[in-house]
Amino acid sequence: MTDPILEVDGLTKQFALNSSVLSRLLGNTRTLTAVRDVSFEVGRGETLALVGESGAGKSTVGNIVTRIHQPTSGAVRYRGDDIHELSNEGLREYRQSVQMVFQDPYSSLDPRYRIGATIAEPLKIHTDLSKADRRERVAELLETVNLDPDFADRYPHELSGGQLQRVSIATALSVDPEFLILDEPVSALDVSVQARILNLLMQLQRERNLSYLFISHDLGVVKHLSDRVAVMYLGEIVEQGETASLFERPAHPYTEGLLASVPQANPHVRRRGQRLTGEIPSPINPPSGCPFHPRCEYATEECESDHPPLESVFEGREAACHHWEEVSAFEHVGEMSAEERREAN
Amino acid sequence: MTSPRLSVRDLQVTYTTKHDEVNAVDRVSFDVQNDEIFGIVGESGCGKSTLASTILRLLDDNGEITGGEIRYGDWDLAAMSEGELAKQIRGREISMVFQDPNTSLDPVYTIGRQLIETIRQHLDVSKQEARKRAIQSLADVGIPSPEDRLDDYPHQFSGGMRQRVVIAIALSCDPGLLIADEPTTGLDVSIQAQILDLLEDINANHDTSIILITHDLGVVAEVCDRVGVMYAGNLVEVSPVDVVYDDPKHPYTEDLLRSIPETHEMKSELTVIKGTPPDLREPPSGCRYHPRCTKVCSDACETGDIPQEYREDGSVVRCYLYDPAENPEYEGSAKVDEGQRDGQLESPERGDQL
Amino acid sequence: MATEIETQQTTGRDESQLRQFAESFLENKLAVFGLFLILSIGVITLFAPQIAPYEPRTQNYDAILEGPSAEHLFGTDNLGRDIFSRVLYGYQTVMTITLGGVMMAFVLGTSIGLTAGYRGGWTDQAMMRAVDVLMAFPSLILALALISALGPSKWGVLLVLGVAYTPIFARVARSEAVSLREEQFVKSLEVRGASQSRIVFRHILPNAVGPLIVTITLQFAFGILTTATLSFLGVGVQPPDPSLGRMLTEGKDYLATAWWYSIFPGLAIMIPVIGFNTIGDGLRDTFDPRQVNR
Repeated sequence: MTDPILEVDGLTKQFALNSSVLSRLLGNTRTLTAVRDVSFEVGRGETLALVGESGAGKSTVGNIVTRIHQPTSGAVRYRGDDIHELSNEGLREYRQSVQMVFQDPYSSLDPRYRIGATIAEPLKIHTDLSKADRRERVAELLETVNLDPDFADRYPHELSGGQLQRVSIATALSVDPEFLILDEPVSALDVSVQARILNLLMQLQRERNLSYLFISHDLGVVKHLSDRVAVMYLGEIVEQGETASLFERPAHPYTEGLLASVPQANPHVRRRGQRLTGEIPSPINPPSGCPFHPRCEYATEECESDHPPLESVFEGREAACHHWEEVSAFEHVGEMSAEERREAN
Repeated sequence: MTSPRLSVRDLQVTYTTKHDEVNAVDRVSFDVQNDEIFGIVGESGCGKSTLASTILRLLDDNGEITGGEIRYGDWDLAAMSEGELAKQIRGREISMVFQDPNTSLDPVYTIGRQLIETIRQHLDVSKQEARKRAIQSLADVGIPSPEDRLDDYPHQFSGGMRQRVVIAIALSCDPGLLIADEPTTGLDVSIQAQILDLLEDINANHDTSIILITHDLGVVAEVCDRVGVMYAGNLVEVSPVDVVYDDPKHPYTEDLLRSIPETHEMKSELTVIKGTPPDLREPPSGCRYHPRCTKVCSDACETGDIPQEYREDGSVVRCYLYDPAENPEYEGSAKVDEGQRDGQLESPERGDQL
Repeated sequence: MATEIETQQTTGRDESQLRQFAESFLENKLAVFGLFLILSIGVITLFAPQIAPYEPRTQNYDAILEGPSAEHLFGTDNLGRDIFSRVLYGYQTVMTITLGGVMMAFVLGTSIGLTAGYRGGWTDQAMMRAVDVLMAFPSLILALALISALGPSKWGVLLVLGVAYTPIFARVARSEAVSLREEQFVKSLEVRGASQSRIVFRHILPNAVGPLIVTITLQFAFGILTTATLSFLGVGVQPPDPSLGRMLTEGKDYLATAWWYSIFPGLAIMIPVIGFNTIGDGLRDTFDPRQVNR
């Protein structure tokens, strides 16, 4: 990756929990660290997936990149410029160049606006096209996402979830962005509808050389769509690497457990390896040392006290684990016989 | 062969709205055997959740059973009085677990109280006895130190633990059948895996059959013994789980499986099903899948009244592909099986329609 | 690439939202009755000069305290003025005041509430604490205090209503804005660089319009009552302008001998209050998403 379009560097985000004025004056606020020292890069035309379970901090990262939240420390650089220190003009360009598609198609469009008006809105904000030109552009965009241009006159409640999600994508594309943040864009959709949206996203990326930051908990979709994956746990990236290799040979026990927990749509195949036990601890009181150690079967005394840094463990892979060698040596994928399957159950 | 735990025959459910009637479940027949996990899979709007609530007659006010029967033991749940149903069946013989554990528990009572209440409502036991049973139920679903947690309120449990509590309440009276409607949707994969393990464990260690309603083909593959695939209110295929994945019988099942990313090379174009699901207010004639089907084999697909009763490799399929009279290329020996399917219509006069 | 273009299905759901809304509202018989009352009163108010058989201020000492008759539908008062005509003109006064006051409160309150709710944080705290202070005074006491500062007049009452009801609209608007702020479409507008005024007035306001309309109708009912009360207490509309509340005060002295003097103005106050209340309840049911038929 020679030319990163987005660089996230040492990002940390803390939220104050007692936000009453008095406690703030007294200085006794408790804080929740939603994101801790997260760094990654996304190259031009590349898809980086942020995966993890709820509370992992992946959506917070997305919200910081879109400037909905301010980071507590660290920086986000887009084409080299820190996005939180942009001039007005720079910010306007950023708002145009980086677009977002949200998870819930039903709430991501204003219910009182016709589809055409929703898609045209970014054009109104960012361009000085005439009304007729905007209409024409809306029709083009609808066709780009494989919807009939007549949809422009409809209201969101008349559309299905998959159609709405395509309208969201069309809206995002209206101002010719280079970078899309996709926050669980297909999680709310049925598989057959999901397939179309995924095809559309892949096609658009090829045609327009778009870069994607793909936030998802669905590992099947992530595996299909992304070039690289960053796995988050309790606000930190615990492992990062090329998709295929990471799925085949995870080097962090959390990745291993996550992959083993995903039900495979094939009764004969089951990933070997330890499934995740227990639940994610509270981010208000994270465990000492390695945050994953209470749930980790590889954990030793070292893990309880020593926080392993995210470092390069082998070619193209970073992991934050003292025992990565042990983890990555394990044979994970294979066909299971019926007996083995019963056994495993 | 012993008689099945639950036997649904030609079940039909109709919703009446201001302007239309919607046939949400259309002549569905299936059996749930003793001690099996029976999966019902389909996409949103296919009628799977309606089917689940119909078994316990928990339909919304505008829905009603317009035909068929639901046999459980000696009872026909479709015809029972509401009072009998509440006393004998709900929570006692058949219990249900819903998708959202947060709304399934009453936040103002301790979980112990909710458990004991359920137990004493159905079983004639003393308070101490009920308490003991409650603790046992919590232990059964893997809640650590159940005695202490009995006096906790729902909000003191995490999402995954709350779903375990809901399952504990459902199991507290040793029901013969547990209906789980999307029990893991919205939970994290690690919690989902744990809940699925728990369901398998319950199925193995108690005399409880399970109907698992889900949209997730992975979940089905993981825990189910047999699977019913629903499309637009019809049960299009009932097959053992291996058959569904290795050699799906109905074209819809096949198309559905082919649209999940796992069955494709990374970054390759996914196979999509053409068209969109039908509006059930005006369902397509003939097979409801025919406008989207790539394997239409006969004119009858568009017009015929297809029975859900072609048998093939232990599957029951609602498709003319398995009817030698309609599909000239058919080479198997599927036949309409009459003996077992009491209450089922004889195969309708398909020939006359051509 | 062999992707098909999706076309619209005729789902039968293509009725306009307005029509669905109207249909649902019209099913509520009580609300339709209220609407009928209010429309009638609206017509009466607009055409009072044409309908009224007498000039409301003209005194006729030949017809003092006459009971209802064909000549004087509601009878006459102690100065021989036609009560029916005075009620019609009284409506004009009370409706103008209420309409003006409620609209003023709507504009002020909604702007404050939406801005506070959408921006949150410090702005929200400051604005809503100010609103709380206003709310802490019972509206009648607030009204009396304001009137005594401004001096009693029609416009004083209007201003009083405007100030007293602003907090109510601010509260409703704020709570709507707070929940709409979390909607994804609002977030996506922010990400797309839409300005704050665009988001607040072009997107949040139209989506909050339901509860606000309900509040408007209910506040109308209260506004009529407050106007009448102030007049009753003698600090509202000043003579010789006809005022329903004032007629009530004057009539109460004659209750034993001339019941019509206070009963008809009393009924005249009651009818629009009932009307607005039933419309308000009907609208609330219609806007409530739980009531929407699927």
